[in-house]
Amino acid sequence: MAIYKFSDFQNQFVQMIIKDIESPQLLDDIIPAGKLKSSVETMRVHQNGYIARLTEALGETFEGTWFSMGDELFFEVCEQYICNHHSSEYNLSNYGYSFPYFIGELKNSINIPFIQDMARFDWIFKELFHEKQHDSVPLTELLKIHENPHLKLEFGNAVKLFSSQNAVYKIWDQRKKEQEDIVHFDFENPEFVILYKDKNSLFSKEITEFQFDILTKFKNGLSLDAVIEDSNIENQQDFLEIFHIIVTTKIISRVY
Amino acid sequence: MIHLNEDICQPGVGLRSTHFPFLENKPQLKVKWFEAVSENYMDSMGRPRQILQQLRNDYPIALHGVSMNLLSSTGTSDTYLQKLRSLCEEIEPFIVSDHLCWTGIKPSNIHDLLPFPYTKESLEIVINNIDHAQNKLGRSLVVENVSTYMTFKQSEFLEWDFVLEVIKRTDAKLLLDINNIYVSAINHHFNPLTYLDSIPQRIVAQIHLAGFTDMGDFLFDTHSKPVYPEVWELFSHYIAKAPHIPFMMEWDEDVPEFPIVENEVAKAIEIWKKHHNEKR
Repeated sequence: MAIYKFSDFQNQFVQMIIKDIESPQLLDDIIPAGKLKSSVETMRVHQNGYIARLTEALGETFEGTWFSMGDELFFEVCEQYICNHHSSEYNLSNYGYSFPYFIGELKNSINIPFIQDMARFDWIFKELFHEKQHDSVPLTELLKIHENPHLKLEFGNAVKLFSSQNAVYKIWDQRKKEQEDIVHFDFENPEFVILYKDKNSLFSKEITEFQFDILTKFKNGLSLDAVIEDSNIENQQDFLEIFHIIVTTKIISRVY
Repeated sequence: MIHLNEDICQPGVGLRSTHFPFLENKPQLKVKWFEAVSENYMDSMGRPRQILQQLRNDYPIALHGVSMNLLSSTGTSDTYLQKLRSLCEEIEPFIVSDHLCWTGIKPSNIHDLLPFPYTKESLEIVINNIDHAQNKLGRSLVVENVSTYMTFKQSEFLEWDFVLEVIKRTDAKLLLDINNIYVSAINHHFNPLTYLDSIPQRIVAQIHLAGFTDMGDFLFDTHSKPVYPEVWELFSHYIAKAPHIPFMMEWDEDVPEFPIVENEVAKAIEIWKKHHNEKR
């Protein structure tokens, strides 16, 4: 057996795992373990392991998507995704950033209207889970925007706003239930949610579309007076409710 | 911070997220330290990192990686090493280890502990990569022997000779995985005692124990079972000569409740005591 360059060996090995491109030189070099009958069969151990590990990683991140699609369809879509999107991350839990977009492209064949939003929600939830708890500003600091409407609100890093034309969060919330405990409901209702951390625990709060829009404007860096000018605010009660949400969820990390 | 007492038996266990709720209640444990998978904490500032920080207040921690990619011909990732160094500065682990294998070549990551031919070229690559990683981390590494499902005709060294050469030519020490030696021995038809007896105790920083799965055609290192009797025998054989080496149990798939994992650790403690308490 002629010794070939180590970089060639590794390149051929990787190509066979991720693209199933066989290399006669590599296959001739391999001595199978145990009672494995051939080099190809031996390589299959690593090829299958690659698909299994990435599928497991996608399953851990996209729990709601898996729940909504069922095992067979989810695994089929995962394998398609893995074959088209090789991992370059050292951390398996970071694999799948583009999975929601990939699912979006398949939505006609998947035939679940909310599935892309569900995958998007799963990814947002994963990001929030690994976020550090932010420090919230005290109430006295928040109250300054009453005196100075030019001030802006900086949202903490552990805060996510999510919206969908379907009740994605309510479906997601059932993902760990036993089959007999799952409540079926009309999912074709728009949904607006704040996801946030308080004292290192994750919370969610459903809000109205109006509240979502106002919070989004604050999150995008608009000052209070700019938000008022930009929004169709009918009465002060609307703003008081939003301020109540901001205070109770502790989602603001800076007033500036 | 708590440190290991090197004069006594030092059993540890792999830290797994399924055990977080149990461990948060601060139960009395037989284990004296935990081994955490580095990658599970390097990028997370959420609950996993908090739990690790909390545990570190009460226990020594070893950090064990799966992605340093020490046998890669495209080198190790400096981003990875920088993040690991930050975690080390926070946790102050008593051991930082990874595997004597490769996991991909840039830009692909296969997320597997991949086999390689034991050649002079691969030896130079791993020595350079370990040297680079140790410099970036500012500390010595511990490298683990892996189990394999193939060998290569082009190999110029026996596995244990290759391992010894790596240790001799770097400042690294060995994480001796006894289950991996047994799995490879059955898969590649050699006597595991030949391997074990070639490893001097002075180069071993830690011992791993785990369970494999018999796939029929070969043994597979799944970490999904209790330790097999044959592996206990090998552990007993080695630990008889090596009282000061920390040992631990890994369980990564089908992870049972913590007391069941700890029960395996208790078996290891009994074996250790059989050899060493009688002499004291």
